[in-house]
Amino acid sequence: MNCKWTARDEVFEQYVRDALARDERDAFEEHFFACEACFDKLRTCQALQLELGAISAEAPTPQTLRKSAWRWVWVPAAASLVVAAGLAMWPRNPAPGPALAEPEAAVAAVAPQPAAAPAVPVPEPPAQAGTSVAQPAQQPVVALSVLARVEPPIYIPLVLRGPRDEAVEKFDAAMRRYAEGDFAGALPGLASAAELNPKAASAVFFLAVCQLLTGRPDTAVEGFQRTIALGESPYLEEAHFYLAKARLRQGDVAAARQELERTIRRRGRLETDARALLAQLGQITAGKRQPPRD
Amino acid sequence: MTLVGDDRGGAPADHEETPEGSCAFWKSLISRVQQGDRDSEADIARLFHRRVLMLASVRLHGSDAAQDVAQDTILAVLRALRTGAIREPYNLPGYVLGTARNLVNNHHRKLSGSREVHIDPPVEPGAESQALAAVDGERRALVRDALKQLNWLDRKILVLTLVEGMHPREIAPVVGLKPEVVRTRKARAVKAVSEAIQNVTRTRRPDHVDTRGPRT
Repeated sequence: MNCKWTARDEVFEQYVRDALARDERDAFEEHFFACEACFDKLRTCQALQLELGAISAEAPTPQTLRKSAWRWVWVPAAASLVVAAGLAMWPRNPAPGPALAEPEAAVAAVAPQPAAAPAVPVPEPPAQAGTSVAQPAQQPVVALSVLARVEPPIYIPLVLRGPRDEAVEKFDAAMRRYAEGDFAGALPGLASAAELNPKAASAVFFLAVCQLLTGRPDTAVEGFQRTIALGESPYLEEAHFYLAKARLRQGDVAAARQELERTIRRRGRLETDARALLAQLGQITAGKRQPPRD
Repeated sequence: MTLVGDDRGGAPADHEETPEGSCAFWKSLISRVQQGDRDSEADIARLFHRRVLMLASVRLHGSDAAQDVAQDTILAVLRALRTGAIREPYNLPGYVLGTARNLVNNHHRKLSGSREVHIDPPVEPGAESQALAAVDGERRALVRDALKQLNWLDRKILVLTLVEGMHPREIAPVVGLKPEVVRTRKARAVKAVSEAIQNVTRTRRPDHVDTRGPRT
């Protein structure tokens, strides 16, 4: 047998990830439809990928965090600090008090929050059947204000040919400020761009992001809703996700949950983050179930 | 008629390896299908179903539609064979491949016409579709066992390569090794898994089914 493909491991690996260039993919398909050895190897490679996918889902790798969730990498770190601080304080301060007060205090002590992330009160969860005798929270949980924190989404400028109108010019100028971290400075330009072209999802979305980052969740909510109303766009999934964040800032956990579920349903890049956030929200509401106090 | 591939999912064990022999094999098989031989139709399904399912699951990113595409492809090929629409018997694998690609493209077109459906859903770890879950169950069990024999670092390198799509030079700083070392460890790990599977499934050494037809 003299097969030129079988030694090219990277082709097999890239094929199962659908990462081959089109020409090479087509050529490889023609080959493995005829080559038993290569098809056998490909089956093993696919089985390996699927099993590894299951492993990585169980225990996220550093790269998983780095590539897709690196923006939220501080969440588990903050959670660890909260847990550590909460456990340290638990025996010394047994006096009854709101379950979230301690972790929140701990967060404030060890990880000062940015001005854009004010503490948000946790609304009471609805009473559920069978939980009338609520148990006190055994584990400190991450404060809602921690979950409401926002990291700015990455903006990758597009270079397009053709005439550039005023809205595009204003947007580009504003996004240069955004890229420098000057979110307040980017606001006027983005507002102008969104006004000049209300159908530009990019301008509407990043305007809302800047509003959220500068502590204006109410207007940010409207902006994200406008982005969603514009329909399919590269920002639709992110709009749902950041709308959830904005809702958390407002303290509207139910609405935040809804938006996270919508994010998950889109099965996009933020699905994992949305699931994690949703799970942490679940922990918070579970941790909030305490015995009634006078 | 339910079309499923067998565990080998490849060419028949007694296939011939010369172009002329391969041509004769396909010609004979097609001829039997045209005569209404149900066993030959099952042979066609057994030969190609897994390959088409592989193509469809990769191109549709693990969508459940991959199973439908694979079934529809085999049925379309059988219909074409029964009516004598295939003029070049030696090119049967190429015909099946072309049919599968057309059906995958049709599926993409159908999706792109619907705003509500995600056009290109990525395969997310932990969000495995039914189509992917059904892929090579036995082989996956073997792979799972083989992975348990690897140390955590090799498993991590494989995850970063095959799940995250990282290059050894990108993995190197993550795991604190040189890119060449990463490359070597990855190759050894893949080889170890492949050998573990071969040790269990080894029957006849797999080889080519030549589809190029007789050459002058």
